Amino acid sequence: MAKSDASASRSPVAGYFVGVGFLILASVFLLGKSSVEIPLTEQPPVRAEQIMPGAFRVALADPPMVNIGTYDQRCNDCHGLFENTRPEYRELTQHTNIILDHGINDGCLNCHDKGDREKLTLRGGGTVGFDQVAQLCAQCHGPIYRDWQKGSHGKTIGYWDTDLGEATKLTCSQCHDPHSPSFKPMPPLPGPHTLRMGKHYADHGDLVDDKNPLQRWRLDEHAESDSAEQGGDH
Amino acid sequence: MQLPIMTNTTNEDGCPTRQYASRPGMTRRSFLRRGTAATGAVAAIAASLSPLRELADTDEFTVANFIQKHYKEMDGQDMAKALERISAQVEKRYDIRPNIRDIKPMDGVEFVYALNLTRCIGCRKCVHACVAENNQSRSPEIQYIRVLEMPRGTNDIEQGNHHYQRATVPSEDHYYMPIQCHQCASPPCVKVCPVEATWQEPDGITVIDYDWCIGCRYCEAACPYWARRFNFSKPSIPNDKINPNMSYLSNRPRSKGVMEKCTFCLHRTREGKMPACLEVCPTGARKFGNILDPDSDVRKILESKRVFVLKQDLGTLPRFFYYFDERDPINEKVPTGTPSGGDA
Repeated sequence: MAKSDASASRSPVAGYFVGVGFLILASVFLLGKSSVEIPLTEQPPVRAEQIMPGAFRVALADPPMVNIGTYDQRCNDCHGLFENTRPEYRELTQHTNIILDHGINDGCLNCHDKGDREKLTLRGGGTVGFDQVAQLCAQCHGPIYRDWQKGSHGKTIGYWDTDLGEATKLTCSQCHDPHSPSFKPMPPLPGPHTLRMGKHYADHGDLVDDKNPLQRWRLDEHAESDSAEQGGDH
Repeated sequence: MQLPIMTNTTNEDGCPTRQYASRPGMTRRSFLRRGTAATGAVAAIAASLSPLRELADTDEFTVANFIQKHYKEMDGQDMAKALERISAQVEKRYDIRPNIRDIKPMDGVEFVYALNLTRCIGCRKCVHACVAENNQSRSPEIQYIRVLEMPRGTNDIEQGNHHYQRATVPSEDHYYMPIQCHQCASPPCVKVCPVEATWQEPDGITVIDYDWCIGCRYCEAACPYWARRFNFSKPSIPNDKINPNMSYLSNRPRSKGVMEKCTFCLHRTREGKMPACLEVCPTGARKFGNILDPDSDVRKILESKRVFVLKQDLGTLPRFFYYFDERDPINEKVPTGTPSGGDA
């Protein structure tokens, strides 16, 4: 029996199969796609202005220039002409773009100086310029001001090594809108664009899988089950 | 059936064959059979090596690259040659002449990063500023910074989700924890590298010699902070997106099959500038500086804030610190209730 097995394994047909098999393999290697195609979807583009470095917003300089109508004007160009005798708490007829949402601080003249509109008023008397806004904010936001002075709050850009270049410590109003100081929610930029394993991360429904090459078979499965459900309805 | 030692016989087709006991089976038929198999095998081997032809199409594999020394063994002349080769490569591939140099660490400087978790809103601007600064591959996109969306009330990072997609951030019942390379003082990734392609520099930055890396990904497995990235395919960067300000150890273009990681933007920070992720952060949650300088922001933060590091028990001694403010204005708005996943 053993001898007949051996002679069978030496049968000429088997040898041809091996050779032809190798040739088929060779042709597959040669004619097939040489590089692996990674089936990733297009990443949503991130525009350059979405990742601009520097200050979050443009703060008023000292002296402040305000755009009224069509061109920039100094505050006192209008406010210096006459003394405003109208009550402080009223519907504004100018500066209507300003929405005041600053907690219990709801009066213009809590911060703006009544006499000189190009200055900010301090509670204990005296005024500071708009570039010294931190001194004004510090009167209510003491702990934050302390953190800002120590560098744990706020943003310092430019050079960390002041021997090599200038460090710019941004002031309050370069991040916060003084009239509405809390940070507003913003849309996040796109997340990681990687292969995603499993479904546990998905709290936005099954469709999140369409970005996942490893889960594509599930899409077919969903399509089949959807069509099956539709068929069942009829 | 027993055959004599040497005999003339006929096979089953009636063809006369001569069979030798010493070389059994060497008939015309068996010769063709073996010949076919051998030819096929050679062809298959040649074909299976055919992907190597692709190497010739790219400019990634050159003799100069192959015989280049390890970064630490290169002298000034070797480095000048290597930089010239890389410049020419970048110019050929991206049509832009880079300003590439080898920037050495500064004396008396140890970099430390601090991140204020109270302020981070999870907008991912840092992620993409980093991609733009460091010439990461755009397709597939490689991101060094991973922003975890964490349920409030826990610091178990296993509960974090970095794939969050929301109309707006922050979500009221989450906080956000960006993770990037922690530049550990005792880096596990360096210990496992079999070829010493990655090491820690005197200023605390762990770097990779991309020309020395063999792509075994041991370091990726060893890193407890998921900070290392692998180029599974050839990085693709549009020509107009290339940042020409490059250094040998940080953001020069990588090739397929090598690891890469955050280097605290050493081409910026070793010249005194802030890293790109800090510059773009809209809330100022990111703080960077020299911990050896008593007047630096990070030194004051480490002295005055309650900072913590991630996975402290691993003994990796990260140079990346997280802290919370004493008052949390965002959290104060949230009504008290189940911290996470209570009835979700």
